[in-house]
Amino acid sequence: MEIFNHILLGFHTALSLGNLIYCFLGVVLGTFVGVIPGLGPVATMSILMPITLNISPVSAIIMFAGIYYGALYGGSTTSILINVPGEVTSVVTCIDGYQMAIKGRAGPALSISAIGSFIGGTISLIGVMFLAAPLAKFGLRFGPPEYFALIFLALTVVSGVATGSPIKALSAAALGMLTGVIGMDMHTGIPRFTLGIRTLYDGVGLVPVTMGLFGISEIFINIEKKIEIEILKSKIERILPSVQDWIDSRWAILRGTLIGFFVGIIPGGGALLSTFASYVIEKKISPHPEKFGYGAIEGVAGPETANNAAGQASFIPMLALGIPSNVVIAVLIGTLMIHGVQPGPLLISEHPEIFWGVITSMYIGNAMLLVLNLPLIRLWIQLLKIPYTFLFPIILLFCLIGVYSLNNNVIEIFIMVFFGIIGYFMRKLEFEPAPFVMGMVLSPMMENAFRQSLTLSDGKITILFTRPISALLMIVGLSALTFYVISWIRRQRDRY
Amino acid sequence: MKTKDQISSIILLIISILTCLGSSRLNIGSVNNPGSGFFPFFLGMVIGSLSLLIMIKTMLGKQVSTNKKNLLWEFGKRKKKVLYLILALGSYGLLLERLGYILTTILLFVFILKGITSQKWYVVLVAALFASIGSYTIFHLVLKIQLPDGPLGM
Repeated sequence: MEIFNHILLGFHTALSLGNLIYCFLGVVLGTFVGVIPGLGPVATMSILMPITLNISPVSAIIMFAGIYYGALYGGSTTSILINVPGEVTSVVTCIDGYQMAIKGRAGPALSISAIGSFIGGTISLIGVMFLAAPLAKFGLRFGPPEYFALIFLALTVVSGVATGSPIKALSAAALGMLTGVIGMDMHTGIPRFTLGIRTLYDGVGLVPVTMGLFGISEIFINIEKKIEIEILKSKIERILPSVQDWIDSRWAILRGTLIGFFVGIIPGGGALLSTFASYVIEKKISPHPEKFGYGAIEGVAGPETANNAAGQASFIPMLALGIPSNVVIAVLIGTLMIHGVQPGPLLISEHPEIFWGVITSMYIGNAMLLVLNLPLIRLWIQLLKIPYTFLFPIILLFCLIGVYSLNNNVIEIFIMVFFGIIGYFMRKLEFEPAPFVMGMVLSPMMENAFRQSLTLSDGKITILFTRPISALLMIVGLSALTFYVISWIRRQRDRY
Repeated sequence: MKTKDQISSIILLIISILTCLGSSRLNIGSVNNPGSGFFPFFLGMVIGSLSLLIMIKTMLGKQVSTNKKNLLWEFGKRKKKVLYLILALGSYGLLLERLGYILTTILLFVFILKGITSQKWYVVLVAALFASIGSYTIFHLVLKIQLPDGPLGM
């Protein structure tokens, strides 16, 4: 069995002392930033990216992956305790999690979400192990037209998943793609939209943009209003769930795992969509739907399981095809590329130690999180008591250091502040930043694939529709797009 | 909603026009033989059409009275803070390599804690010193990240 050799290789890599430490650092840091509102995994990875240049790519990715799924755990803690989602993926958890906390059941809510996350994450990983390699083999058959079609599909999915208006999400994605165009044209060497700024010749960096759009703009929004975080006064007595809680949530956890895994594979789908899907399904099939919204434990267990399962599954398109399925994965791909590792179908065969090392480290990391999280719950509560007045200058400072040290270039600071302002206005005008960043990352890949497709076909754009795989992907993407526009128009008509 | 959408569509339209103009200077080419300007031109057109969709939506909508919630700034009194913070961050970028990391960071913290959040002076000074020297130790001395030296050599 070849796969067992691979798994052994993986554990050999992941269990080395250095990588264990990076994994531990990653999950603790991830939980920490997941708990703190306004500092997410993207900003954290961006800050740490320059530091990882001194360590091997395997260790860097192990740590970053730990930050990612650690933040998925941490995000739920604030949802339950203070009704403020630490990450977007825990928005749904607020609904029943906070209600449980009010009723004095914060302990079971937190632990069922940690346990559900663990189960969802590890089961999903088994799927990743068995699916990624065959998918990568399949991915080798992907030529430029297939890549173009896949990216097109991913962008339409991202826009559909957005919580607000799909038209605005599409606009944000298009603006992001435009930002991705800035810099030297790879094919002709002509600088595009650089305004004569030399730093921009290499393109706008992903790090200053993500830190600006997510970190800085969030601070702008927060200092504008008076935020009062109400920390739960009631004492947490019981931490572990009761037998009844287990019985109530066992099927929700299993269903959440399946939903999360399959939604997570879709490029652009990701963890967010899976939480909504899980909540809606649990509520629909529950024998007592009236309890939802008033502290039903299934409403916490299902979505929390789903988001971790999806988080792990979203590594599949990255590891097998080199395509990011969400913003965090995009930063991870950026990190790999900085280390000179090209993500894509060849990654598994060329760098088996990275692929299997990262996957097995995620088992270890998930176990660490489960052990860590239950006793640390009280510590996180203390952390939430730090007043925002002192928290935001520190977050700012982290962003400044991170973005400067990337290239020791002050211009990057200005770029970050600029995108902070853009992000501020985008939030005011109800545009989401996530599709923007996805568009920005995917745009160079998309343009490249487009031009290569035309070279391949002697200038016939029909190549996108004559090859079976790309035709299928294009048709799915176009139908999704048509569906958004039609349903959007219909909604407007109903409203007025 | 209405006001926000009107503003959005106008901004998108302006971006779309600027993009198309900028791309046309870059050799657009054709679908079958795209030049450097083709992809951005196409994006410009997409953004333009989306802006028109949003504009049509706002025009179809009934006239909603512009009550407070429709305005862009719901927290009028505090928007100045955002402006101050933007200026502070801009100045940080300008001064960082001239004054060095520690000094610039102290100034930034003093400005934020005193000017924006109005803390007491002793709190401001302790926090500023603690944050700048602490972060210098962690990031520069321990993690070996390069930070600019000022006239003080740190």
